[in-house]
Amino acid sequence: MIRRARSPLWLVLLLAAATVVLGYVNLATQFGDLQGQWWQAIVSPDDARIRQVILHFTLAPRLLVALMSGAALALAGCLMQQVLRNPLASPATLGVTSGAQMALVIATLWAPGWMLAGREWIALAGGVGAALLVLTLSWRARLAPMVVVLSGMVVSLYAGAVSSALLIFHQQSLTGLFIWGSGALAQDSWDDTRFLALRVGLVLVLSLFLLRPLSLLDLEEENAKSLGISMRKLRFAALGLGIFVTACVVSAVGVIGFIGLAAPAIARLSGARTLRQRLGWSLPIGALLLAVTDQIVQALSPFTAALLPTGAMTAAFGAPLLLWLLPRLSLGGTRPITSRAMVLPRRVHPSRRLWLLASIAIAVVILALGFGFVLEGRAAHPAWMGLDDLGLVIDWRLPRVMTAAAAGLMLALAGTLLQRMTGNPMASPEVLGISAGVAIGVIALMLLPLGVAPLSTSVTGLAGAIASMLVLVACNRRSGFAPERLLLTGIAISSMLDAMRAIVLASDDPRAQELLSWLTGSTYYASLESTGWVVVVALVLMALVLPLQRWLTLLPLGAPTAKALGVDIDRSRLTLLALVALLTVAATLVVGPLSFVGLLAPHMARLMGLNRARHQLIGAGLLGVIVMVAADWLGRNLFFPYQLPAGVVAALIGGLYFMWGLRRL
Amino acid sequence: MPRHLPVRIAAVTRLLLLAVALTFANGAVAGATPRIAAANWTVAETLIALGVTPYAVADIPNYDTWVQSPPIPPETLDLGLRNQPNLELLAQKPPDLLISSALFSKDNARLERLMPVRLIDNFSSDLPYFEATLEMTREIARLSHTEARAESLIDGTRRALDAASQALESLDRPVYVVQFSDSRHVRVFGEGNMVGTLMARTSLDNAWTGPTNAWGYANVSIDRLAETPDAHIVVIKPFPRSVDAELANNHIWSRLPAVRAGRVSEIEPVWIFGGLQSIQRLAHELVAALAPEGRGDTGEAS
Repeated sequence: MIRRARSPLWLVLLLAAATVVLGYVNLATQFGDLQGQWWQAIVSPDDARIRQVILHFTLAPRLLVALMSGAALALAGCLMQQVLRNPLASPATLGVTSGAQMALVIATLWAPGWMLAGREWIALAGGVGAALLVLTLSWRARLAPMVVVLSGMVVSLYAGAVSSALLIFHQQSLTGLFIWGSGALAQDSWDDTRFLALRVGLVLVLSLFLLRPLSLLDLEEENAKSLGISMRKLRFAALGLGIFVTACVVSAVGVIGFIGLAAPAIARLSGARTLRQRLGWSLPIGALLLAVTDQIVQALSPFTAALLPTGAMTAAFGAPLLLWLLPRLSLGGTRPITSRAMVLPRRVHPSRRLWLLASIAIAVVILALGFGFVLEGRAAHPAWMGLDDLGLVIDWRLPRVMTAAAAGLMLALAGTLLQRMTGNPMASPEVLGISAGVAIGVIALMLLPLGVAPLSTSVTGLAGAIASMLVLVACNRRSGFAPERLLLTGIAISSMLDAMRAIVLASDDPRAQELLSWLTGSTYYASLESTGWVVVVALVLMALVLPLQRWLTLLPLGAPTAKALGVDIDRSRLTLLALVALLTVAATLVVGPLSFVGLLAPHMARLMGLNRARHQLIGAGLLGVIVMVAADWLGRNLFFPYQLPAGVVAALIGGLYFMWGLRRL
Repeated sequence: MPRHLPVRIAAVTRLLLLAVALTFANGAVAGATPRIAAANWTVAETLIALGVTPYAVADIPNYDTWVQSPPIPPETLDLGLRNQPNLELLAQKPPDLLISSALFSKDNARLERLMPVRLIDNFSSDLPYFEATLEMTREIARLSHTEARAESLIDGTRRALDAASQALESLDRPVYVVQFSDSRHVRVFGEGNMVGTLMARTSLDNAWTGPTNAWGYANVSIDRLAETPDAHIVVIKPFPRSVDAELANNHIWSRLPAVRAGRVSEIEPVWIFGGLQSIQRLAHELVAALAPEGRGDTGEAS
C-alpha cells in the first residue's frame, strides 16, 4: 500500500473524463448527421426516422448498461471479497460466470424454448449451481480463502471444458453464443437497461443494509461472533446477493469477468480502506472501467470486419493492470494452511504402489492401442483389432497414444516440480498460467501475418512460457512467492489467454475452429515422426528431473532451511524453472493448455502415499500417462467417428476427481 | 451423433427420387467412378451435383442443416469433424481419393500414406470466387470422370445467372444479404463470395459497402443495416436458436426502414461458401424473393 494517503478520486475523475470525451467522439462520428437532435433522439425519437431510432435504442442504453454492469460486477466482487475475507474472490474466480455460460450453451442446444422464456433464469441457475458446488467443495475447509478460490477455478475450468466440447460439435449453431460469451454490449432496446436498473438497484439497497454487519467482518471472526452476529446467515445473504447480481449481468450482456476482481482491488490499492470506502469507490471504478473500454471498442468498430467483444477486451486491458497492481497489493495475513495435505501418512510400501501404477499404465496403453471401432461394410462397431491390422494400429493409433502418454508424463512432472518448489499444493503449469503463456505465443503466431519471420509454434510457445514465468517471478519475488499472490498472477495470465481466445472466436473467422481444436488439446495431428520427438524429449527431460530429488526434498522446507542444508537456492530454483518451462512447452504444444493433469497427477500421487520426491515424481508421471492415454482413448471412441480432444476429456475426468479430492483437503 | 429420424426419412425419400431420376438420366457412368471422400462440404456438394456418390463426407448432420441441398446419399459414410476427418476410419478402407481443403487440413503429407490427397478449394485460390469455383468444379470433374456433367452444370449455372439477371433487371434497390448470428448481430455478405458474384452478374447493388473478411463477410450489429435506408434485406435461414422469435421484440429491427416497409425476405438455407449448385439455389431464391413475378424463368438446372 504505497498510496495510502491518496483517495481514488483522481482515478475516478480521470476515467469519467475519458468516458465523456470518448462518448462525445463516438456520438459525433456515429451520429454527426443528427447534430442538434441528439437530446430529442435520446428522449423521444421520431419513429419514422431510423437514425433517431438507432440513437435512441443503441447509444444511450449501451452506455447505461455498461455503467450498470460494471458497477454490478464491482459490487458482486466487493461482497464476495468481504464475505470470504479473500481478495481473490470475484464472480469469475468463484465459477459463477462460467457456470452461467455453460447453462446457456446447454439450453441453446437442447432446450431453445427455455432460452426464449427466460435467458436470465437459465444463467442464474447455472451461476447458482456453480457457486453452490464451489461452496460445497470448500465447506469442509470452512471456506478458507484459498480453497474457495481453488474450487472456483476448478469449477470454472470444468464448465469451460464442457462448453468447449460442445462448441467443437456445434460451431455453426453457436456462433451467436461466442459473441454473447465474450461480452458484446450492443443494445437494441431499453429492456436490458430496465432489467438491470431494477435488479442492480435492489441488490445495492439490500447490500447497504448489510454494510454495517459486513464491516464487522474486518474484525477477527471471534470478535464479530461475540457481537452477536450470525456469521453463517450473513455470509449466505451477502454471497447470494453477489451471485444474483452477477447472473443478471451475465444473462443480459454475457461474460465480463475481470471487473469484479479488478475494481475492488484498484479501490483498495488507491486508498480505500474500510468496507464503506471500498464499496463506495469500487462501484464507480467498475462502472467507468467498463464504460471506457466499451467506448474504445465502439470507436474502433468502424475499422474492422470482426466484432470486438467488450467483455473480452476488458480482460485484455485488465489483466496487465492486475499484474501491475499485484506487487502493490496487500493481501493481508490470511495465509492459508495448505500443508495439511503434505503430511498424509506415509505408506510402508511405496514401491508396491508404483508397480501397481505401472501395470495399470501398461494395461491402459494396450487397451488404447487394441480396442476401437472396426469398419464392417458401411457401419463401424467397437471391437479388438486383429494382428493383421497391426500396420493400421502402428500408423494411426500408436502416435496418438504415445503422444498423449508423453504429454501426460511431462505435465505431471512439471506439476510435481512446481508444487514442491513453491510448497503450494495448488501450483501447476495450468493454474500458474504457464500453459496459457504457451497458448498466447501460439495464437500470436497464428494472428501475425504469415511469413513475417521463420518462427514456429515451438519457438513462440517457448517465448510465451518464458514470458509468463518472468511475469510470475517479477510479481512474486518480493513476497517470497506467497501462494495467493502466485495463483493470482496465474489467474491474470490465464485470463489474458481467455480474452484472446474469446476475441478470435467471436471474430467468426473459420480458422477459429482450428484454433479451438488445438486449444482443447487434440492429439489428432500426431504422426510417427512427431511422436518420436515428443517421446524422446519427455524421456530426456525425465532423466534430467529425476536426479534433482535432493532439491525437491529440501526446497519445500522453506528457503532458509534449504539454504542451511547446503542448497544453492537461486541456482536450484532457476534450474527447476527452466525444466518446468521446457516440460510445459513440449506438453502444451501437443495437448493444449487445458488438461488438469499437471495439477492432478502430483496430488493423486500424494494421496496414494507417495510422499518422497522420487516416489512422487515417478508416481505422478505414471498417473499422468494413465489419465492422458485413457482420455485420448475415450475421446477417440465415445462419439466415433467424431472425436473429442484428449485435453478436454482429461479435464472432464480430472476435474471430477479433483473436486472429489478437494473435500478431503 | 445420431441424425434426427424425420430429417433422415425425408432425406432418404428425396434421395430415392433423385436416384431414380439419375438412373434414367444417364445410366452407366457410375461403374468407372472412383470412390472419393470429401472433408469439405463444398466439394461434397459439387460431387453430388455431378452425380457422384461420395464415399465419405465430414459432419453430415451439420451439412443437412447448413447446406441442405443436394442431400447426401444414405450410403455415404460420416467422416466425423470437418477439420479432423477420422483417420482410423479412413485407414480401414481407404477411398481412391481424399479431397481436402486448405482450411481444414494442414497435414496432407501424412494422409497421403493412406490414399492420394488433393487439395481443392474455391477460397484459397488467387482467382475471384466464381472463376475459382468453376475451376474447382472442373478439377473435381476430372478426378471423378464426369467432365461432361460438369460442363452442363456450368452451363446450367450460367443460364441460371443470366435468367436471374433478367428477372432482377427492373429492381433498382440495393440489397443486403445477411445471415443472423444472434438477434443483435448479422453476417452481412459482400464481395468475394457467391453473393458478390451474383451482384456482379446481375444488376443488383450490394447495400453493404463496408469492410469484409477473407470469406467476404462482416459480422455487424443490426443497426448498421440502416446505413442504406432504401435497401431490401434478404435473410438466409437457418435462424440460430430462437432468433426468429426474438426478432419480434427487437425494437431496432422492427423500425429498420426495410422492415417497416415490408422489404424483408427470408430464403431457405444456402451454403454461401459452396459450389455451383448452391449458387444456382441462391440465384433462384433471390429471384423468388426480390422479383416474384419473374420466378418461372430460372428453373434449377443440374
